[in-house]
Amino acid sequence: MPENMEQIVEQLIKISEHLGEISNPGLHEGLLLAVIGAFSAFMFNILHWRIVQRHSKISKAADSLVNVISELEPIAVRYWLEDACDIDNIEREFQEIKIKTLNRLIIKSTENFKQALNKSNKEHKIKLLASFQDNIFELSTGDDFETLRRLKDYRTASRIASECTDFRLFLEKHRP
Amino acid sequence: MKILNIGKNFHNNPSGRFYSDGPGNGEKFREEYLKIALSKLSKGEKLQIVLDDEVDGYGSSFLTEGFAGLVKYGYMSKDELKQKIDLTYSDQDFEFYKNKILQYIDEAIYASEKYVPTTKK
Repeated sequence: MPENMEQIVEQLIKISEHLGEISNPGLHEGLLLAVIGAFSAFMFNILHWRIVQRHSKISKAADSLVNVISELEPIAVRYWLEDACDIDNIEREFQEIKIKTLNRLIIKSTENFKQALNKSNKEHKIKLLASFQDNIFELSTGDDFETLRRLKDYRTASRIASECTDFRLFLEKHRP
Repeated sequence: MKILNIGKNFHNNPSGRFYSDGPGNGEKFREEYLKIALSKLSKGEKLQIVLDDEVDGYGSSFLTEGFAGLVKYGYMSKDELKQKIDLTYSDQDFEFYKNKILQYIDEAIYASEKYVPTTKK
């Protein structure tokens, strides 16, 4: 219970004690209604504040996920548009490290987004999120990823771009 | 229970499929670490495989080659392999990789290919 709420409850108790001492029944009733009204307004504010907090949490989780996907997409697409032997070793290793760490960040950020989701259709949304996460991982780190015999694969590059776009659209659709 | 800590006992950057792909490749892990550790287990004993100690993450290519390769090349059936390993982690993110390993093992077809070693680096 918030600190100010405890204070309000204490005040309400004091007021109700004082009300008991008032002999005029009309005044007694009016004051009681005023107290109930004030308390209802306070409860409404608490509920509203919680909804705003939840929306903010989902928005932040969605932003974080969109940023990671947007960072991974150009690196992974470029990686799969070039033969391994055509890329400088350091550049190739840089791309491979980034692709793996960004995939891990997607796993973590997806988990945060799942936790922030409200109950409406949650199971279905979680299945879709898992599917996006899985597809991007398989496409970007599968087949001959991290092998020197890897050949460019336009189809894989294109599917990564498409999957990243669909993932971003999904997040935009399901944010408050 | 015997323990194989991938990051400490094998390599802190497990990556690639074949010997030519660097020191932390999946073929080397399967042939020189996992297969040998599994062969040393006594009846009913399990091999605890630590996934996350000193390791930042995995690619699908390494996991497929390193784990599912045991089934694909006919070293053991998928059920036998799953009975013998216990995949552990302390970082919750690695649950994803654990599930991936089990998925790749399940998808592998027993003895569907003959193993031809690639050249050691």
